[in-house]
Amino acid sequence: MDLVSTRFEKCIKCTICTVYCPVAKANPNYPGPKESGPDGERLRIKSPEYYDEALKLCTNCKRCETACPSNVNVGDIIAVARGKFEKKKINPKLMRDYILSHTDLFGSLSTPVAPLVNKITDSKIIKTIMDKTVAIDKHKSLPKYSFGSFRHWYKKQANTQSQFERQISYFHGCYVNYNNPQLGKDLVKVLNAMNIGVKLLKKEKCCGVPLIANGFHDKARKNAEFNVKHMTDAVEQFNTPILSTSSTCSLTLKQEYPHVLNVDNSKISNKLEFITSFLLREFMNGNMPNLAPVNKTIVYHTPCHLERSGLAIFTIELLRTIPGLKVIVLNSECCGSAGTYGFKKENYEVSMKIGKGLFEQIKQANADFAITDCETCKWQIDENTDLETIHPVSLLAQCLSE
Amino acid sequence: MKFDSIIIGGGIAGYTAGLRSLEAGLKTAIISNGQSALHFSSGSIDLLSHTPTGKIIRNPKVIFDKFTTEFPAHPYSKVGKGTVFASLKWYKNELTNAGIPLLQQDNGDNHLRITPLGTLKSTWLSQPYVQQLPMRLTQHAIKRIVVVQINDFRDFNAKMVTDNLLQIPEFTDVEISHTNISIDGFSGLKRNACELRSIDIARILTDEDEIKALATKLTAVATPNDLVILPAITGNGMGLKILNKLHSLTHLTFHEVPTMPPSMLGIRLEETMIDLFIKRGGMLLKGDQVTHGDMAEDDGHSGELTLKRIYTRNLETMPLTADNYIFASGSFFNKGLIAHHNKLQEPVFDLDMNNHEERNTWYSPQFFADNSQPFLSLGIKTNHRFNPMLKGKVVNNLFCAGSNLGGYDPIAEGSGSGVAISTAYHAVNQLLKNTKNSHLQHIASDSLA
Repeated sequence: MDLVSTRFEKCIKCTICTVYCPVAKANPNYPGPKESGPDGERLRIKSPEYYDEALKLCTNCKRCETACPSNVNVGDIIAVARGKFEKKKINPKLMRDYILSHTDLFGSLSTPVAPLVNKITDSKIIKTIMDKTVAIDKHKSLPKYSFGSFRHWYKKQANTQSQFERQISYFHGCYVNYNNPQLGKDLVKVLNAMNIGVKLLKKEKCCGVPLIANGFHDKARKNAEFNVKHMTDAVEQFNTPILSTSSTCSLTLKQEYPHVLNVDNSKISNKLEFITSFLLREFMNGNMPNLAPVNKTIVYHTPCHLERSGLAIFTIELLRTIPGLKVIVLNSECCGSAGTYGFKKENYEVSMKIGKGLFEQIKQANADFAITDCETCKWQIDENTDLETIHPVSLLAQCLSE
Repeated sequence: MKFDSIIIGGGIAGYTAGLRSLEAGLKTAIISNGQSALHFSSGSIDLLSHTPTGKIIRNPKVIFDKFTTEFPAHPYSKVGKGTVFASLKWYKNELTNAGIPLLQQDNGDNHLRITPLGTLKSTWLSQPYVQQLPMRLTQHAIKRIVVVQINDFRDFNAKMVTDNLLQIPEFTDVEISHTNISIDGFSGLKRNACELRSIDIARILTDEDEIKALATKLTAVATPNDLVILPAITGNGMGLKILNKLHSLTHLTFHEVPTMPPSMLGIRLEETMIDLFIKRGGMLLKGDQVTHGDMAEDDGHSGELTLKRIYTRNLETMPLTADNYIFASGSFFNKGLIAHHNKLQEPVFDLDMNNHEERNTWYSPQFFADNSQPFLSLGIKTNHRFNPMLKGKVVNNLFCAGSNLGGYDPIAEGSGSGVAISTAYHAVNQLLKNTKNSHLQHIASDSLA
């Protein structure tokens, strides 16, 4: 019996996790993390027949783990059980799940012809067809692809970047590579202003989180092994820290690999760092770029996975170093998108119900921008409020004084 | 990262300290390892129901001076009467202004509340739908009690409540019965309704139609002259709104009792305090845990120690620093104190405990003994300012608050939340004296006045 499967023994049945589960809050048919996690695990050890299909309703937001006073990895237990027991039914939804979760495959296919793909996925007719056939909710806009990937842009920068004496390695993830290269460019700009050059890993694949969420654990494990190998190479060769701008990629590389996918990342684990943590430490050590005062108010939303990593403090303190910026921090709650979850027709309503409280908070904040570290939170907030949502690094890039 | 004050522990003591610290204008962080034991609490604020020797207390204020003379080592005696009552008044106002009214007897007496077992316990402040019975129970005005069983809900047993209430001599003339009510929303569920906890029902009861249906059923079994005992099944971020709605629809007199975990009454308090803390600019580190800290000899005070920095599980090598720290890590249940086979330990800093005795002195062999269980009074040894000691040396910028303190028994005395609130409030007053900022000292002297 492996480590994860007995970790439920620390559970004292207090049900606090269920109190803080955004899905249970919005959908009374979801048994909640306690029943799906530690309770169910006892039974599943007895017989796989006890596996409950309702576990697929879990968004893997990990708020159960943040709330748990007994430090039980409730979300991991659920994710591992899904990987072990979830039966894939051959139907159009499987195709949808495949498309939504294989972000790097579809990213690399789409970026060369991005304008066309974006136009197609944005058309009302196509949205209706996707809704009716593969159950991608018609209210959602699929993420826009960038015309040309971040890696493609970077190739021309590699030389300049290598001139810097200090270097970091950047795990850009699918979002920066295929959807928002600007965030990667912003990172390069900010780090360069601090006299730090940016390296990329020789190769990287999707961190695996959408694959885990959609039950493609074998593929996720392969990606994890691939990424660990390339990260290890980078550390051995250059001894750089490996930074990520995505709160979810970051949590996955560091925690989900060993906890959910059973992939050993111990050799590089202490080199993995979330971007705001790295930046704030640099700032505190005196390496702060010149920032022009901004007379703006921002409202900050803590993504679930950053909350679980416990790193929101870095982003918040980093934002507070920007001169003139008024920072409103929200009492964190799930936006409801939860990666690919909110795109699915069967989840759309619950997803909106989960996010409602957050959208209200943002609307009432009366701010100029919303700031968050997570790409899917960004899409969800962009779509459901009037505010433009930007990443803290992009905000910093805008504040750099020439 | 640097703060003015860092609070270790996110329970009632931790949030009280956090809110007071923000109020004093300090840059404040709270580190909370999961949600607190308020989720298992009555949601009432106990001040002092019994003396350590077991005498019943009717009015805590009246006996307070005598109490401090008789029990000088008790945390209340160290805090002092003025601050104890100022802190509770402050707490009551904070929560009331934030939408959770805390009510008390006009004459300052304790009141009795009916528990989930159908017994009576005395407390000091209660939420609006907790019926306050007089300490002189013969003076109660109850004519009839209807205890409501929600069908399929297993965390509340109306029959047991009824049977126990019938044993109370002062209720001999009261007609007491129990009745079953079903919740319509249960029938549409894909789950078995008996799996539902209070929090699940609270979610179903956010629906307008469900509330109306429940109101109709309640009006059919009770009249406005009755006391209707309901399990606490409303809340979920809506505080008391649902109960207010139910009351306005039925005009019934409700008494809500907390059920098996989670307790909706306790959740309301915690939710409200967290919300206030974040809105006022506090930094909350959720789901994190302080692993250790660095102490150094203090230059100014010979022989004393100063806590320089602390480390947490999530922040790894990046320490947190503050001028002052409040240590509200809780008791055994919260892992603020650990019982090993042969010794008791405070696990974060290994602070000195108020006991060195043998294990067999920690407990009385009768679990449900009338007298208190000794381990409940064991805890961290502190000086008059609630500074703890490490191998006999005072740590002068660390202040203990709440249930990690030794020298009192929250259960037997009925003093848990009162001690938590007053020691936390006191701790902030004390740390303000440590600060060199004159503006803050001004606030400190105001608070102490």
